[in-house]
Amino acid sequence: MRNEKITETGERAEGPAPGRRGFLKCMAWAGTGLLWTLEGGVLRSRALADQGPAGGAFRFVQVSDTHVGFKADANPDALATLDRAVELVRAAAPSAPLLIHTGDLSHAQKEGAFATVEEHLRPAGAQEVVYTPGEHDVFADGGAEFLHRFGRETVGGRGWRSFDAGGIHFVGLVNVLDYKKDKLGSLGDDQLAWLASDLGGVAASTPVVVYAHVPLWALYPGWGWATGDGERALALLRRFGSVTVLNGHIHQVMQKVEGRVAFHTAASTAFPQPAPGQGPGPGPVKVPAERLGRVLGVRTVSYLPGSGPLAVVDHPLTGDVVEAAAGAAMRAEH
Amino acid sequence: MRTLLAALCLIMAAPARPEAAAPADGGQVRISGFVFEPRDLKVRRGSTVRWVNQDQEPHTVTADEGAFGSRGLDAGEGYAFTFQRAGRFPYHCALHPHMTGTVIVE
Repeated sequence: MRNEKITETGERAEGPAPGRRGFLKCMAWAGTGLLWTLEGGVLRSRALADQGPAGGAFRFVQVSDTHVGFKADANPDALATLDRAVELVRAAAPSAPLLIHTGDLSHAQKEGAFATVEEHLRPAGAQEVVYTPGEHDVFADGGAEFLHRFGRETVGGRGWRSFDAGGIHFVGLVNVLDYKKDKLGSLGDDQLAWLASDLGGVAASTPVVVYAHVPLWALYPGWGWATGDGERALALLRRFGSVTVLNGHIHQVMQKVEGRVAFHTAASTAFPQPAPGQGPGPGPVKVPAERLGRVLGVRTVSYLPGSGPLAVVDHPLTGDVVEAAAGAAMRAEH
Repeated sequence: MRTLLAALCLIMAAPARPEAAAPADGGQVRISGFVFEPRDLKVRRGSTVRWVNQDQEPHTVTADEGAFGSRGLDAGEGYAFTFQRAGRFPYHCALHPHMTGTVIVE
């Protein structure tokens, strides 16, 4: 693999050997207590302890699919699990500079749910909280309530935006406002044109984090787990040296690496969903009460300027690793 | 009663597609297991069709062309619409757009 980056003095450094400076950065990572493992070709990491980020690292939080208003067998109290998730955020990333909610704040746009989510996320202590909608947040009114509340700083009040923080260029996309079109998420021409011009002004050496609700890659189109025109967005991102795509929607942790683009879907804080294609549809999966905390979680993402890819860590509400809803059952068969 | 018998005869005479039965004066669609059942429903003009969500997951009944549309239906909730115009009315669930159905009004 070619290692290409712009050094601080502006020279182009190429070649596989990062040199002494790179080595020191690696050591900085080792100091954070991260355990890296290779699973199915994907580099996964998890925290060994709740230590703060290495000196100079920027650590932000992703929370997804809180589904406030959900009340069924799969989780009789989705607010209680949200509160546990917030406690976890406070421990794993105290005073985080940024918390991103990747949608489905509410369950079927229940009245008052958006205010409840804001109120319950406040104790997480994040300095800035940004939201992108899920289909549950916009289906009833085309996004009017969501955009009125959360769209003020977005492009034309339409929900999408970009900003720079911690040396990262962040892009928040909306792919649920035209969900029915081809039975998939969709960005639309206006948003894609904006994205092209937004990215046009960003150096290829700047790490980019893209967040949206529905996965941007074709994860399982049969259940609407894909963005119809997501490929057009990805084409604009391929020239960057490091792209991290954060999605929600499917209530389970899945990862894929395509060139220099890493895709990560997040766990929900409310209920798990089945593995793609398992069962009749993407409904809530009921697990034994004592396992619920193992299939729900939050995520922290750390970036040490000038270092390699961003470190993505999924924290379950209970245990060490976020499990798949069917995981225990599958293991029990062996 | 005569209508019912006639309808029964037609159902029995219909070859393989039970959903293509003679138009009824009303209809009920079950939403269960992420499927509208029956998926295609044929009714007479002026009929009221009622949908009931039997899943734990919320669903909607949303016309593709906007002629009718429910809010989010929780488990056990229903929605009804009276069809005054003849035609084909394809619809979907706004939360799970892979779920589709059609009401055919004659």
